[in-house]
Amino acid sequence: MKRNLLFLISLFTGLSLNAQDKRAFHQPFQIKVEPLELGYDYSRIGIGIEKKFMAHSLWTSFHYGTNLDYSQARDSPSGHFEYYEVELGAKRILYSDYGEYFFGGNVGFDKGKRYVDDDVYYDIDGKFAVLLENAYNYRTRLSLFLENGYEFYIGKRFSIETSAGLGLRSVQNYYSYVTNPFRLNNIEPREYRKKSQQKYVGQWIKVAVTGGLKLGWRI
Amino acid sequence: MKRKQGWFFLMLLTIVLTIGVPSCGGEDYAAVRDIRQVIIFDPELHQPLISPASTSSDTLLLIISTEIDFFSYHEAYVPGTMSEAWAFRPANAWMANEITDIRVFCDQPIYGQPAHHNLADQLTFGNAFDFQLSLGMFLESLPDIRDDYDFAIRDFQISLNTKPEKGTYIFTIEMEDNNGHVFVANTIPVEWL
Repeated sequence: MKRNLLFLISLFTGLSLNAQDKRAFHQPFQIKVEPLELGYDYSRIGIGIEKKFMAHSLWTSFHYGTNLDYSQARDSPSGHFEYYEVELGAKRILYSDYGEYFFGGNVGFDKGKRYVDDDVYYDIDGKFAVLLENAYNYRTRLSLFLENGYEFYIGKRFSIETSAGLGLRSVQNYYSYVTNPFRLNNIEPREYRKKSQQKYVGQWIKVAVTGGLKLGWRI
Repeated sequence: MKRKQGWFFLMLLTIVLTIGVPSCGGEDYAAVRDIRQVIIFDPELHQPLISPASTSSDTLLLIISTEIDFFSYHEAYVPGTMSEAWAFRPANAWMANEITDIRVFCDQPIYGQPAHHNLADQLTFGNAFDFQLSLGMFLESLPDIRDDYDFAIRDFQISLNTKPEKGTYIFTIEMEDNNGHVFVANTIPVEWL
């Protein structure tokens, strides 16, 4: 996986030797791929389009993820995982000789579904825990991020975009299709563990950071 | 100088490996999930009775083994692995539920009580044959919710101290926890001669 990624980056970097300052508004549509997410525990890939105007742009992106080899997944005792995300964003663009700075915001919604077996979840508000034989764990997130970044032109058609952002996420975690539940009242997690977030059901808002690397192809 | 540093790091590595490293990922809670099995033990023969069971002993013990689920963290602590050899052990699991009542029923009239009557008040309970308590005191001795897990909850005995009339008896054990779960198990039929 990493070798393929390095090859892709090398390819784009090689093309950058022919880099020229071509303003994006000459070719206003771009398709953008986010390959780095393939490196996650649960591999994801994102693809989207961006429409550029003189000093602004609008973009959207769709992500899909699954665990290709779930026996290697660290954070889940077992099971198949699926992930969908849709993002919409807007940017203010400031052009430079080799690319463009941008800042803007985006809103995203994602939903993950994970099969678990022989596990437990905690209802934080209800103060109870449930031991279960198997179930589906769902996580939905509504995200709002402010971000900035730089898009580096590589030739006429390609670009690499890096960005970082800060924002808020509303997270809802719940279980369904629970078989053989065994409820234990008056039980709370002894220690909140970030790696085991899927075990806590409820809804909460948290501050989050984001970062991205997109490979762009102008149409 | 480099040679000395090498020796220093070798010694440090030796010390670290000798002392061990902290074991991470202990279980947070232990919950009584069920009665795994009930064994009828004959203290005069010093052996469990197997079906078809018959005895002429004055006393029998019902040995109750409970099924305990440890949970919370995905990196399970497995007794018997290398983690036991490490210097630092994870904290004890807490009890996630507690036993609030134990009931014992018999399918035949016994001890002057009709069939299917709760006999618990007439029996004694404990973790050793020579240390038996009344039901109330025994329940007090079991770990409460959020107490450290105690092996006392895993295996305990119910003592049938008096020889009943001749006959074949099947005993039913019910354990209830603080959440209203009732765990039920039956003994094999035992013929009291």
